Amino acid sequence: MALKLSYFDIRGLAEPIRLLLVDKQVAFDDHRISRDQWAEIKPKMIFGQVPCLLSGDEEIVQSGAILRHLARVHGLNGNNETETTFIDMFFEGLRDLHNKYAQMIYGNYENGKEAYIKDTLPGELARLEKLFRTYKNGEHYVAGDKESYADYVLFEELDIHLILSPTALDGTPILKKFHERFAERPNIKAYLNKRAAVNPPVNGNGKQ
Amino acid sequence: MTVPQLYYFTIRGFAEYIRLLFLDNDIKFEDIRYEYGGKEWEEVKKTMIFGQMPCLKDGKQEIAQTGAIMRHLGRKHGLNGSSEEDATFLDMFFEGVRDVRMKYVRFIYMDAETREDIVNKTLPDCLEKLEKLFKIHSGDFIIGNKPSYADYILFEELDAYHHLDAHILDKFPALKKFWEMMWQRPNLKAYLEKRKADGVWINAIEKGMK
Repeated sequence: MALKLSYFDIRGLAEPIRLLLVDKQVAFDDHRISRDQWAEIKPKMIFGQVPCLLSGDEEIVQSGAILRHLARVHGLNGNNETETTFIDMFFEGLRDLHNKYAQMIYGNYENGKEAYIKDTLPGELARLEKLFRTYKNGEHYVAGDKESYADYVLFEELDIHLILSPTALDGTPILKKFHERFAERPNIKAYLNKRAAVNPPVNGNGKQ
Repeated sequence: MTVPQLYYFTIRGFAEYIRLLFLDNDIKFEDIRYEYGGKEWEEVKKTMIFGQMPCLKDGKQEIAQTGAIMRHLGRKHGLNGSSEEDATFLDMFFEGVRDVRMKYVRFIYMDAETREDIVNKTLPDCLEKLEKLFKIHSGDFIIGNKPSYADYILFEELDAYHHLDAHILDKFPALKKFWEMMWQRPNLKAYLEKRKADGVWINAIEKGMK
């Protein structure tokens, strides 16, 4: 089934989806919408938003729904109901963190960045690290031996926080190790090298 | 089999979708409620995975995050459609409604916009999109004539918006019909009427009740 992922020419909410597809070697058209095109595309989108994944003639919006759909199709959704629920919960926890990050980036970057790094982030990361240790003490992936869709989201979330603050993960060594390990996955590594050459912005307003 | 325990505040909030799912499908659960901002909650908060509720304890498993709880119950109780395409559609619908809820929450707690703006512009714009999406599949519910987990978030949200403006659904006949139908569900009717008579708050503050 031909896949087309439409999003802006930034990392944003589409990057975990791109990472998943790249890592699993699923061919897809990485459609990047320019500012001019967006005015025309927006009214056609189900909720007026992207990312949108076109799979054959099925249109899927909402990044969570896209990721979970791909997870079910490509075996990245855990081995049983308990794991599936855990992965979902982990994903939702990451999303809460991303919402706080986005509020700061889009709403209060100049005055709020330092407080976010110093006061908000350490507690959030500590909580995630504790949860990450549930399976195999966090030595592999979110749900143990096998990767899941939440791992791509976790990797991207940690990665953008390292851009925000290079020492962001110093207090959470297990998450830091995960980030290092994940970046070495061959398909991810090749993608990251390619991306570094282009260096697309993380967020829509250019702040990161 | 153990009876699942749902932990939340005394209000409707994010747990109401879960309560409605349990009630409508006649699934026994323990509805544990804490006073918002109370001493007891301060202690319980420390034990919660993300320091948040709702939390569902089901046997040994502890599940936090509303979406994760709803999707888990959807899979467990056959409320997740009957194909991969259904499951994706329901997920997308749920997430779309959740986005509307976040706009509502910003209005309620942060005064992000005026009452006039949310009632006359923001919510109708969103409802128009949901009405269109709702009509893609025939039948009484989001998909066909059988409820799914996403129907409970949709109903609860429509009901909350109806509190703000009793005419807000008039322009969206499919959603209005769905909302009216859900009020008459045999396992929900008495609960909904009691909830209304008791004036159970939708949010942690009274704002939003009318």
